[in-house]
Amino acid sequence: MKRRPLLIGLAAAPLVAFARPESLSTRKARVEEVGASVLMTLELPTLIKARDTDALKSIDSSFDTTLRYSLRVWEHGTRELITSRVVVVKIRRDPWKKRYVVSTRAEGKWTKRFFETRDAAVAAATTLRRQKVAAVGQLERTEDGPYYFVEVLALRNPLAETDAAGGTARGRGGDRDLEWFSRIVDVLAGERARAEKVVHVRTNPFYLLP
Amino acid sequence: MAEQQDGMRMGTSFWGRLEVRVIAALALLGTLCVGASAYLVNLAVDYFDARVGDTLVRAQAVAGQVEPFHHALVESQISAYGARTRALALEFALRDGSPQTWLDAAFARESDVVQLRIELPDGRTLARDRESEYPHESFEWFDVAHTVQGADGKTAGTVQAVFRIDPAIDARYQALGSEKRDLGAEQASRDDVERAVERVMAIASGLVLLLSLLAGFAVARATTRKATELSRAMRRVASGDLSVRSRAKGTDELGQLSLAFNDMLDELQGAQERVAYLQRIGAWQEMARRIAHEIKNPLTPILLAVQQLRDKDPGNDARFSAMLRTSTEIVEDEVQALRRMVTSFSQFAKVPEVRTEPVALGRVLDEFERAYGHLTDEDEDDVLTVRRAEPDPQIRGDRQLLKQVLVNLVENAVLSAREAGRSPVNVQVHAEVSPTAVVVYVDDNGPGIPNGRRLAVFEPYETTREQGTGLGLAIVKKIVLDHDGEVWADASPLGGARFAIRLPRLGDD
Repeated sequence: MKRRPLLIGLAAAPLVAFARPESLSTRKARVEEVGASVLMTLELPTLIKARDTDALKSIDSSFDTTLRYSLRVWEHGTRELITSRVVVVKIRRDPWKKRYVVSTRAEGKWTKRFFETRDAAVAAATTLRRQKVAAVGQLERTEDGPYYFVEVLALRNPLAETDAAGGTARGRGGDRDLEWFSRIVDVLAGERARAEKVVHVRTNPFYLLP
Repeated sequence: MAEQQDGMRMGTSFWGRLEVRVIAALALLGTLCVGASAYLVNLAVDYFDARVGDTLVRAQAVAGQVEPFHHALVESQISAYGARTRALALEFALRDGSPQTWLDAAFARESDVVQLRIELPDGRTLARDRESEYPHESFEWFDVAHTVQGADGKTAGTVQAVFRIDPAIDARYQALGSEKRDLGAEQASRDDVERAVERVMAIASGLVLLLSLLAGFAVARATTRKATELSRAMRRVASGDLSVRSRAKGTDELGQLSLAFNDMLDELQGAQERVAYLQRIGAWQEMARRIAHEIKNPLTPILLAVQQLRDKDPGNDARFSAMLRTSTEIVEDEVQALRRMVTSFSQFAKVPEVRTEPVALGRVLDEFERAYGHLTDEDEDDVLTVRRAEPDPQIRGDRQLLKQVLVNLVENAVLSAREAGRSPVNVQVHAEVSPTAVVVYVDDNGPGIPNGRRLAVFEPYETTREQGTGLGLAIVKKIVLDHDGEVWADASPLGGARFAIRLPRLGDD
């Protein structure tokens, strides 16, 4: 057996056991069908807590605080991934105009909202308000239609993905080993090694009214 | 059962077994090596973790020190924008020409102003802009307004300037912020990463240890199994069983030892059988010598007495004379038969000691053919064929005794075939040569020897011929054994018996 598949197998073994998205904790979300889109409203206030002084200080220092939401729509109980999309939100204080700016990028476009207070800006950044998660045509609408849910992986300030060799000298034999070693370590180190803060939840099941 | 007895005799405990000790030693060594490696790796990880941690803290501190400079830069830039707007307003109040002329000139001069607007006292508004050049979607704007009074104390107008903020200022600061966040995240996840590295090392070390143990187990088991097999065979030999053989195979030292041990047992068993046979023959020779001596002595007086009786017959009674003549002839015939038997016994008892010398086998065969070719003269159709080996091999032997061997074997073949009614009798003598030995075959077309009697025919006084004494083949075997050779009986391709004699071959040099 080759070394690489063996390493992948060893590294993936613990993941396979817990890979079912149904096993994630549930957050209540409001799902609406508007036109040809399925919109979701979900609050994740734990992403930036009010007592998280470091996070709040970072916002006030005018650095962008990036929130990366990965939204994956699953058919309940089948492990069938229907669709997925990524929403990126940035929040910071504008030192020029002394206000807070929340920038959102969804489907390739940036939109900005301005807030006078930090709390309002944080609340807006940690809430996916009427966010499109799927097109209606991607979901079934029958009398006994399937249930769906949205898996939400929210990362606060995700680490920039670098190669295992620290961005240098990729491709040599030793570095390939180091790359695989790094991947295994990343898997075992868990989500804390991927971002400042990770919230991984799923929504309550929903279905389209026939 | 024998295995159990062997095991009981060994009396070794579980920990006393070589296999267990070797495996335990390998396990201990493997554990020590892997444990030492893991400990050193852990030390290295801790060392570099501390170094990296210090670097991260210092880097974060550096990044933190840059923050106030940025805010100061922004504030100074805001002040500058305000000052420039106030300067533009004063310049507007002190202008010579029309407001539009001044606006055009000022706007052309201020390249980072996106929009310049003048609100005149009469309510009119004049404006110039570069919005298409610096769109709001791509650039941050900062607007400042300033109202200025004229010399008459009345409002001369309001100048509003919208500045394009240099995007490099924010870009550099955000890049710094990104690096600082990554540093913070790296710092926060250090413990998790360190634990993960330790877990990976533990898993890898465990796998290495497991593989080394399995490999060690396989090697130790293969090795100790051979040693155990050899030990078993040696114990059986020590108890007197020379028929046992070691089943340990392989090309390693233990496999070679096993082969050598089996060869030694083959030699030992052959020597034991040879010695036993020679002892048996020696006993028979001693008995034959005594019998020959005891019988031979009275034969001559008996023969003389019978001759006297026949000579002293007065011849008065013809019937008596005839009866006497018949009786004396019978006695003389029986005495002659006893003499022949005594002669055979004497020959058997007096087989001379072998005196070997280097001799060519072809010479022995030639002399035999010249001297004893008459064996087939009684019937002209009988055939005796003698074929030499090419090239003619050298052996160490006693020519006279070897010829005696051939004579006995050929005589036995001819007589057996004749008794069985074979005609013509066909006897072939030929030799084959191997690198280490010479084999002489004597084949006949007689009745052959049943498989179960092929060993017994060499025992003294074992014969199936009516006229046989059972001593010829015993003499053959004794002479061959005295030459460090061996003889055996087999089936002949001619349909009768085959006798084969293997003798050691001398080197060509």
